Amino acid sequence: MHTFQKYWHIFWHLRKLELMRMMEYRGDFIFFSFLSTLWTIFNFFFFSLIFNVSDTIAGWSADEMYLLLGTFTILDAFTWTFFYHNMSSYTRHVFTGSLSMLLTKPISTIFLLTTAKNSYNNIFRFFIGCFTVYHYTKKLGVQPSVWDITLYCLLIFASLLLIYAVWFITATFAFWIEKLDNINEIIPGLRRVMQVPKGVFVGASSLLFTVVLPFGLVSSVPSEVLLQRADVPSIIWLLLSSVIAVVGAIKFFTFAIKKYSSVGN
Amino acid sequence: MVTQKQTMKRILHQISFYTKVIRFKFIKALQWRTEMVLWILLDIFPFIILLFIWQSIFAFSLVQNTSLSELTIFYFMVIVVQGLTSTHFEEYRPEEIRLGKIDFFLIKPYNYLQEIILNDLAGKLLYIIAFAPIVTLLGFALWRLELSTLPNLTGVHLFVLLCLLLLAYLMQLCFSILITLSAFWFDEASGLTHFKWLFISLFSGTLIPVALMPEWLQAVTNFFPLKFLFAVPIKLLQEQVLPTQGDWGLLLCTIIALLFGIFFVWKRGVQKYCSAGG
Repeated sequence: MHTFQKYWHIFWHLRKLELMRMMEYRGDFIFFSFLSTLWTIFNFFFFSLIFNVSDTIAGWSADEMYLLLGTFTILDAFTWTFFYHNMSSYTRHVFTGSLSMLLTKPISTIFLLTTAKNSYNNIFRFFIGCFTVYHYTKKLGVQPSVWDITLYCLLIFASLLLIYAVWFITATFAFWIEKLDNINEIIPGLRRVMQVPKGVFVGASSLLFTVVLPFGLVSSVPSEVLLQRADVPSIIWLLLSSVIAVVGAIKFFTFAIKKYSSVGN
Repeated sequence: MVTQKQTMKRILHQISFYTKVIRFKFIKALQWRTEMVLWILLDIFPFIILLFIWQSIFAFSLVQNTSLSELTIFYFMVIVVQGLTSTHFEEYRPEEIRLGKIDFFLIKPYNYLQEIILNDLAGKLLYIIAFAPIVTLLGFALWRLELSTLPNLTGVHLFVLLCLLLLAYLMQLCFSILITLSAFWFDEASGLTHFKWLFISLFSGTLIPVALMPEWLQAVTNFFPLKFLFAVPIKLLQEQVLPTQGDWGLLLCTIIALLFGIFFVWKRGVQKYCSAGG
């Protein structure tokens, strides 16, 4: 319990530091918040173009699809708020050799690597996502129970863990691969997979994006829970795969750290 | 006669100089080859997912004015045109101006604009070398899956297409240079690249074919010269429609305006520029 309290305290202390940094560069915050809002609107606009010529995407109506996009927007807000900054900092530490500094700290290196940084530029994206989910749930006339909402939140959390863990595994390859500054662009590059219903993928692509690397489930399954048509195997696999990914990421980091060497930090 | 000879000698000297610089930059870019291959795959990937989306749409219903095969060719062309013409240096170059790291170019007979352009040309050359086999493989796979066919182009079409691609690259280069140079005044100039991609995505015809756009978006796309970046070359490839004289006029006027803009902004920017101990 004491350890948990310590980490909880450190986590929020780090958020406070980042908030102070944000306040120092207020112009940046406003500018990039505006940009992130524009990209979010653009994403919805793109799908509205598709719905201009078609009624459904993989059996999902426009309103259902916007609900899914709302869920994706929530996940995307975390991607750019937490994941991108921490993973960039992680690979930079590995490439420059400054990871030694973190290894000597009296707290978990993985905790420090994955939570030290964040930005607040995507806070509006998060609220847009929440509002969209709320709006389209109402518009579709769906009345989710408390259990549905709890499960939705749990699945969102599992999806975030899955994305973060897979990203961490990818970034850990930095121990072996030099001259690959864009290693942190791989997971954001796969975001398109997350913003479409899982039914879009068929055959080999279905196996790849819903089983092997289940990014095709991260927005789909929570949205299906709200729409009260989720299938149990997908829910279980999303929860299970996030746990497997987290355990795998920790194991892989422990293995990879043996490869690490630096001089004079 | 002597003057002509001297001019010729000077031109040859310049060509030899630029060739050497491009060669040097090419060798420098070569050390980041793995990164480049990864960029290529990351550039292609979103369009592959778009194909999956359209495939799922066609599985349920038909779409008026188009077929899955046409859409596949469209997105394949978008990948090709994007690979050949897009530029990205405005994402890191503004930092050099902001941090006062361009002093070197101000005192040498090789200015910063030349450095940007030659560096990008060398990078593009390497990109095309890595991009060609990947995109050929993709094209072959789509052809084998009977999702695409080879466009029926004559020599004239190919020549016009080449000109359009070169001019589209020049236009992208100009946009990127202007964003880079805005760093003389604006701290977060690299953030402007988002506006560039937003406008290009919206008004150049990369998202969906122009025929499938709503009428208002079609009108805007046809009005802006951004259509020359994707919509016009792709229309030429898909429908063998050559640009009209009006199109050429608009394209050339845009490029001339952009070039004048660059020289004006560069001149003003250098006057404003100051650094210490660079």
